Amino acid sequence: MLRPVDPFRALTAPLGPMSRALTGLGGRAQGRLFRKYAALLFALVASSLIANAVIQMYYAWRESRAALSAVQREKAQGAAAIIEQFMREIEGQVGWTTHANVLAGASGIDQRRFDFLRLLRQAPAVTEVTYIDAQGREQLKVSRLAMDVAGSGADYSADPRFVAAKATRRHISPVYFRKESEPYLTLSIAGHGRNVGVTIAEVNLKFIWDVVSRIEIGRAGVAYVVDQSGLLIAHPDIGLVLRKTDMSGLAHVAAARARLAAAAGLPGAAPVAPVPETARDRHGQEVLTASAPIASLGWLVMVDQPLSEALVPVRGTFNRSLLVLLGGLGLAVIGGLWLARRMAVPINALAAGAERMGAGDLDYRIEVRTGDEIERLGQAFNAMGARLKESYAGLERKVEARTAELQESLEYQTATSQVLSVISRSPSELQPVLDAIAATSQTLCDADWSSIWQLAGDELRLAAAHGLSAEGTAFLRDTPLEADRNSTAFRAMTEKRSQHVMDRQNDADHVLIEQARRLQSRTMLCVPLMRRSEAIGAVTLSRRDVRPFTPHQITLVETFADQAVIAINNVGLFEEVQTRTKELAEALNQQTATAEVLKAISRAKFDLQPVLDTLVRSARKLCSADLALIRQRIGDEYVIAATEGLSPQQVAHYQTYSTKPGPGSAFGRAVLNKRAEQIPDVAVDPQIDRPDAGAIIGFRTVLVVPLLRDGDVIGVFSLMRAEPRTFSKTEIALVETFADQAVIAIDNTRLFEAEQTRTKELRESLEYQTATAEVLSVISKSPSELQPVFNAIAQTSQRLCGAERAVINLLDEDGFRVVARAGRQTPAKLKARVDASPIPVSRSSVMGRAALEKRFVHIEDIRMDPEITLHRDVADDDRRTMLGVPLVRHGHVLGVINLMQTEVRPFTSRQIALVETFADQAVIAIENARLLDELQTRQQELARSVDELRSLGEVGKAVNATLDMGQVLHTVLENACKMAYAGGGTIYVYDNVVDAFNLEAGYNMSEEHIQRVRAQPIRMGDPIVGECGARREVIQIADLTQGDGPKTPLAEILLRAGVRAILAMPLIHQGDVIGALVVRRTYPGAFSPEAVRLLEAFAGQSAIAVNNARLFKEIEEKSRQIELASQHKSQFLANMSHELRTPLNAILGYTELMQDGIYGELPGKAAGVLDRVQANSRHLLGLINSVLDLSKIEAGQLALNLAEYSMVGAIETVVVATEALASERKLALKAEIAKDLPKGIGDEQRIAQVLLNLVGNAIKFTEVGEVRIHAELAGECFLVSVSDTGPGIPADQHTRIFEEFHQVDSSNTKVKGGTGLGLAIAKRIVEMHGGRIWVESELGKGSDFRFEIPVAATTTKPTELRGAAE
Amino acid sequence: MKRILVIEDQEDNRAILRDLLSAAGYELIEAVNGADGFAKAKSETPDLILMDIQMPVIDGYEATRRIKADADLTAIPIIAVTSYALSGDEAKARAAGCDAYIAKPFSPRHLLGVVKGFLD
Repeated sequence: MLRPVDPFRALTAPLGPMSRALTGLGGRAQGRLFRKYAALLFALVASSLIANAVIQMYYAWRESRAALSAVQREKAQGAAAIIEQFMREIEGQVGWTTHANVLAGASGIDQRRFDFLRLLRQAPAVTEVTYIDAQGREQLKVSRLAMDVAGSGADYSADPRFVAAKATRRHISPVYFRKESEPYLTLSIAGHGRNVGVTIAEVNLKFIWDVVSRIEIGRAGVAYVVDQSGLLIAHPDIGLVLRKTDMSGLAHVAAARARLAAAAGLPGAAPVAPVPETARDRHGQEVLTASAPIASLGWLVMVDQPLSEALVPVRGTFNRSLLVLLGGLGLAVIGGLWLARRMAVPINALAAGAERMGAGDLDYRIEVRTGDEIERLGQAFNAMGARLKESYAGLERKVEARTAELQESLEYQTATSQVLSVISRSPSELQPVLDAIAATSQTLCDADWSSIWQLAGDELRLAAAHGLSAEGTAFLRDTPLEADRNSTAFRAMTEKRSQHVMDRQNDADHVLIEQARRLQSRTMLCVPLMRRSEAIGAVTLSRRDVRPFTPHQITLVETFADQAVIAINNVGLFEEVQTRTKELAEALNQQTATAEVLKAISRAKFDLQPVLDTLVRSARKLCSADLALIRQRIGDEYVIAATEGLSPQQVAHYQTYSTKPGPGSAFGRAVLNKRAEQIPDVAVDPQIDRPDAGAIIGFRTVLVVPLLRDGDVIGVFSLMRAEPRTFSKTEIALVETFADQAVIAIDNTRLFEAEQTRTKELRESLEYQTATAEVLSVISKSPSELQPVFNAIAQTSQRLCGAERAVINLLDEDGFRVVARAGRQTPAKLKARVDASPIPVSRSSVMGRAALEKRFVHIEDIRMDPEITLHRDVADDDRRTMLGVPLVRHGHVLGVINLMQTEVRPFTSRQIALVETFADQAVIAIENARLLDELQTRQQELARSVDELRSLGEVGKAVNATLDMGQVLHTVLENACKMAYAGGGTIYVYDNVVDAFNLEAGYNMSEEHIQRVRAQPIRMGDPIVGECGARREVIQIADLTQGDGPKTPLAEILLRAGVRAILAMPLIHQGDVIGALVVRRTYPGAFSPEAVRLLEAFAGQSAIAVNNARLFKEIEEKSRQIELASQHKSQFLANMSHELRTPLNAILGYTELMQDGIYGELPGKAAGVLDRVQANSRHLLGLINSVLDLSKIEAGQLALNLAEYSMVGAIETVVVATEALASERKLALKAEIAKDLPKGIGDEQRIAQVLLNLVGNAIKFTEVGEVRIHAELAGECFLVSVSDTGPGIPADQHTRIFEEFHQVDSSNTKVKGGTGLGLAIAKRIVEMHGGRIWVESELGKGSDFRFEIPVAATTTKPTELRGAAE
Repeated sequence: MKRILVIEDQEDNRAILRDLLSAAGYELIEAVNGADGFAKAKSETPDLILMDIQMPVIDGYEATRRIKADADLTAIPIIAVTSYALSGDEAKARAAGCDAYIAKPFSPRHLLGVVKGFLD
């Protein structure tokens, strides 16, 4: 919903921060700017002034000080000059007295004395003058202080004054203090020329004091003199001098002394530091100091002036400068303030202007006439203000428009909310809502009148109208709109949207025109009332002039239409709810009544006693009786069912009374007459049987009312009074009513009980059936497992038969064993006894008897049955009633279901029948399980057989597939373990050389375990493995932890690896133990015979594998050796033949040369010998060549030189070569060659070699007859045969003759020659061509050597040309 | 008179060749190993060379290669006379540059025939 907006606030809002900033500028910021400028200007001027003043003062101070120092120095120098002058004068005067000595003797002395006196007069400082002659004798001494002495002759020759003066002519002694108070020095001067004396003058230095005292240095300044050693010689304060003050400790004195020493060029003088201008005097006061040396004496004149005094004039200068500075600062402040003001004012004006604009005064114009940037800024502000003002105007217009819209919306909303409030106010009444809607829409839409129509059947009826006269309203109400009229309202409803008619005067329907005319209706708006896409009425607005409704108004009316629908809906719902509520209330009332009735019935029905109690109590009270009781007939007895007011004694007494019908008692009469009988006073009734009864029990009047049902007395209602007072008729009637009620109650109870019993029976049957079903379902659920079935049967039978315990026992050869228990725990001892051993089938137990009788046995109390003795001796045997039902199948007892109670409580026949049912079910279950088990066993056996076969197959395959023993053994072991359900296993191979079983294969063994086992050597006969080998039988240990397990290291290792059961089986091959197969389990238990049988098969396979591996190893080793030997042989032969050729070359060469006569003619005999030499040599060469050929072939070095050749040509070559030999031996040599033999591919030379060999042999070994060569084509091969008529070859030699170095008859060789290699070579050549060679022969019938080679031969094996075998 | 260089380390074989070839009217130059043979070939420039293969210092193959590599000597025919009588050995000798090949033990008559074939 739109919120009215304050245009001004909206405008100023974004300007907020700016305006605040401007405001700040006008106030606080203004002061800041001013202060900033003022401070800046002041700081600028002040800093320059101060700098100026400081610099000035500094230089003034320095110059002043320098000037003062200079003055002081001059003064010191003046003083020094005066003192030096003084000394020089004295010296001059003394020197003069020295010169004048020209006379000797007394007159000379007098003269000198005179001189000396004059000297003393002229020089007041001289106190004493002494003359020493050249020899050092005192000649004269004149003194102011003593008598003159002449010619004393005192010896001065060693006196330093004399000696020094003699040496340097003039000597001045250091200052000394006479009488330790006055400073003196001694001046010694020697005369000119040779042999002159020395004059010594003592000079009082007090005189110098006058000099220094006269020097004025300010007020407190002093001048003083110090000697070489720094002692004070003269000082204005003479006391200091007299006290022999040592000034050398003062820094400036020390510096001046050092400088003096340096000037004097004294050796070892320290580097000269400048004499400081200021220093501390004896009092520690800072002084300005200056010094001047008196070079001739080595003294120093020092001038000290306290700095405070010396600098007085400088301070004056300072003060003046400070005054000037202060004045300047004052001016700077004033100037700064003035300038700052000049700059801040226009800025402030700007700030104020901006603030006003920011505050909304957009007409304000800033007037700044500074003619600079500030003025431009002011103008910019003014321009901005103007633009802002324009924006404001636009915004204000928009705001006004919005406000108007809002106003309208507000009105509409208010109207809507009013209608809504009417709806909510009257949820159950429709009319006020419709009236409100009619009124509001008419008002808001500026219509002249409005109406609301509701659909009723085929008509629209007026529901509400507004703006019409009562007459007009009545008219509309009386003329409902018919559906067939094409009215605007129906049109709106049909089309389900608003209809807007500009002028109803143009309507076609005259009825409607009439209506419009009467109601002066021109423009009309009609909006349908839609409830879930169904029109239920219409709202119409009408104007008396032609003026269309605005869309806004139409929307509004539509909203009202919706609200009207809501209201109609609400009312409908409300009515519905009301109806429902009413219905509910009625139902509730009825139900409450029913419930009360039912409650009453049920209350009386289920429990008789309270009813009877209530009856007697009510009767006694209502009939003012003292005692009341009801007796109920059960059989022929009347038992007291309820009493009131009777003590137990009275009740007991009462029971002794006769219950015979008869006149002897009220009871008897009532029963007899079947009506109420009263004895007004038993005490006086003559017919009464027991007149004492009233007295004993305490009553006099008695009323007895019979309880009658169908004319039978089923009980009596008796009331008694202690006092004789007759019961009134009303009372009797009341009691009769009570009696009737009692009858009803008793009847009800009886019926109820009968029903209860039936129900109980039904429930029991149901329970039994359910239980049976449950057991059956358990059976079907676990067909293979019996335990759940037994458990279910035990539990169910125990529960349903109300037995305390149920036990199911199964019978086997040994007897009964408990398989299931249910109910209360069997006492511990009894249970222990029962479980200890199977229970034999005998009549001493219930189950035994049941088994023997093959029917159920029910004993109410076994303690009463002498036959049942089993377990009766157990202390806690608590069995009493027992039921045993046998499980019988085909006449065999499988077991017994026992039910028992610990007290005598027999089982019902129903229960027994039930247990029998269970027994049958148990039998079925057992049978099922047995069958299933059998089936499974069969299947397992089958599967196992298949597995075994497969395993054995695999093992066999492994044994055949590989000679790798480790792999085979592993395969065997893995299969063996799997088939024997062993977790792991090992195969050991026995090494009989070192007597040890070595681990060869392990299955599921950790490396660690293997290492441990390997570390433990196993010998034949050692426990388990060794033992099985030694005994040649299976050793099995079902549980290693048990006592029978050997406590050996191996067993320890196994136990540590978690092994519990182990089986060891020897591997035996041809009667020898060659190893052991060991399998093991991590749980105890013996291996089954099937497993052992299976393992035996595996052991056999293992033995074969081990043996195979051994054989293979041997063969491998032998082959390797043979290979090596063969290689060595070939190599050796190759080398040998090569080496043999070299000497043979010489033999053959020389022989031939000799034969050719190179070495001259030979004698005839020698020529013959040479021929034989040559022949033998050639034979040898032939042998060597053959050996070489063979070795080359064997070494794989012979390569066939394959090329096209003609077999015919080869044969012809051989024939030509051997013809001579054959004719020589008178043998016929024939060649029979098939025509059209094709060209072949092969090594012609080698093939010729083969032929040559065969033909040569044939000629050689044939004495008489012929040698025939035959060649033909046989398929893809040439078949060549060389046959002879020789001695033949025995059949057993047919193969061997093709071996190396073999001839048929070794003795023959010697005669026939030959190497015995020819055939071997021939065989190899033929085979290299891919052919074969063989002989067909019989002794005495000649031989036929044949070979066939492919026409197109290919090299059968790749031969590589290695380097020559050297 | 044609001159033949015999390069052969075995005295017996040299003697046979010496006797054979001298008798046939050839002048013989002898060398006892490949290095010596090459030097003699260079200095004497024979008309034919008989070359043993297995020799110390430089074998016959290498000596042949060197001689055939020398422009002055390349025209001299070289006959390999060797006890390397295996198949392929002849090919090897020819590959090294020998013009003919005679296996030991040789027939002096056959050898003389071959020599004459080259020289006459």
